[in-house]
Amino acid sequence: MRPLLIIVLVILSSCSRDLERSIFIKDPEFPELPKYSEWGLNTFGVYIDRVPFISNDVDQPAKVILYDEKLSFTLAGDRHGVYFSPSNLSLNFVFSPAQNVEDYVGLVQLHDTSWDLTDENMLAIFSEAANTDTLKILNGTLKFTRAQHLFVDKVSEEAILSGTFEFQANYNGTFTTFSNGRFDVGISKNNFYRP
Amino acid sequence: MPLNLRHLWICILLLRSTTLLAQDSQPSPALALEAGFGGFSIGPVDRGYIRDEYFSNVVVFDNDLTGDFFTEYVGARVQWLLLDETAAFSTGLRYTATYTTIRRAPYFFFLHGTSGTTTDYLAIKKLAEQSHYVGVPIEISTFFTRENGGRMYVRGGCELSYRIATSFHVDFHTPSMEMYEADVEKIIGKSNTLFVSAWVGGGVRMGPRRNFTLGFSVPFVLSKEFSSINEVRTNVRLELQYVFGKAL
Repeated sequence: MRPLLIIVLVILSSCSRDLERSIFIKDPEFPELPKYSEWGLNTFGVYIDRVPFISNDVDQPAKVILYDEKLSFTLAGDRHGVYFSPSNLSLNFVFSPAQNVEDYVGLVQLHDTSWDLTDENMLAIFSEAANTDTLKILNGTLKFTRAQHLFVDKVSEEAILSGTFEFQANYNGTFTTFSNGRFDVGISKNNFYRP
Repeated sequence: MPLNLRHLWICILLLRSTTLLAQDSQPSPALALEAGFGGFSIGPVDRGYIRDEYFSNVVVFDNDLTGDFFTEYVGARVQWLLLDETAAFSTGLRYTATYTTIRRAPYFFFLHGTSGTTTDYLAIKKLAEQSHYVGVPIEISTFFTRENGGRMYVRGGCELSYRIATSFHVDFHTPSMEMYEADVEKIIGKSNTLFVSAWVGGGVRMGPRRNFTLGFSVPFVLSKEFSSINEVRTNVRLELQYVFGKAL
């Protein structure tokens, strides 16, 4: 009986692993960014001024961490451009959802919600290599256009969060524009944390 | 559908064949049997039910979503020699079977349905569609070498086919999901019932009376949605033909 159980677990876990693959489909208008999608393709992208900050095939593109009633939504990847070599970057939004989130399934409450990044309860933290800066947001919005509870072969696998963001901020004393931001990421037990 | 040089060339060939028929008051008909096979280059039909990137079946890497398209056919034609036996016109009936797949290792995700904030994917290893057609081909050919051993020839033609049957097969990652095969088929939908193609090609006629033909053709699919799951581009068909009677 035990070998059978192991085989079943391997099959189920292999589904999860394949869902974690990043599928980068170029946006026809902004080819350096992934096309906006709602499939859980595990990609994101945003222009930081004129330089794209996008997901890669190595870093976990998104993580959700619950601290008490605060939810931290982190996007991690690289900054690519003519004058930049890839570097580890992350953009972290911290906010308080309307209802308690117990696990990744609870993230579907974010469906069709919009968050004003200038709200005093909202935090946007940007990290590049060893430097971490809490951004002073001038204006902007984070929007979860669609949140889905995904079943694969009738087994609950993850929550898909798809949306857009755009804002202007003071970053390290420089006024910076984050534009055309979009994300389509899967949050499962592998990248959902509740310390 | 915009006209291009390819279509123009086919029209000229057909027009010429009509002229040739009119000129020859006593054509000599001969029965010809044919069989052939071919492969097509393909791309997926983007109908929003597969979670993956577009693919090419020309260059495939591990874990790429890819696919195949094969066709095989048999037919019988009546052939007339024209213009002092320097050209031939033929038409008849042809049965064609097509087989197309989409596959990925270990599987790809197929959108089974959404309800509110709940979404269902099915993990599928391979999706296969087989269709059967009956069609009427029209072709003209003319030779350009006169060697006794074998005669090289060129040809052009077109075919209008009607789909008489289609079947699907879904290879699921989880065997218990086989109960949803009909759902998958319904989501994919049926391909176009009419299939129009045209081709140019060539070959060699061999044998003492040049009855045996080994030919090739490059077909162009003119109708849309030939397949429900793949967009058909083009490739090469190989064909054998035997003429009972006097051949070109």
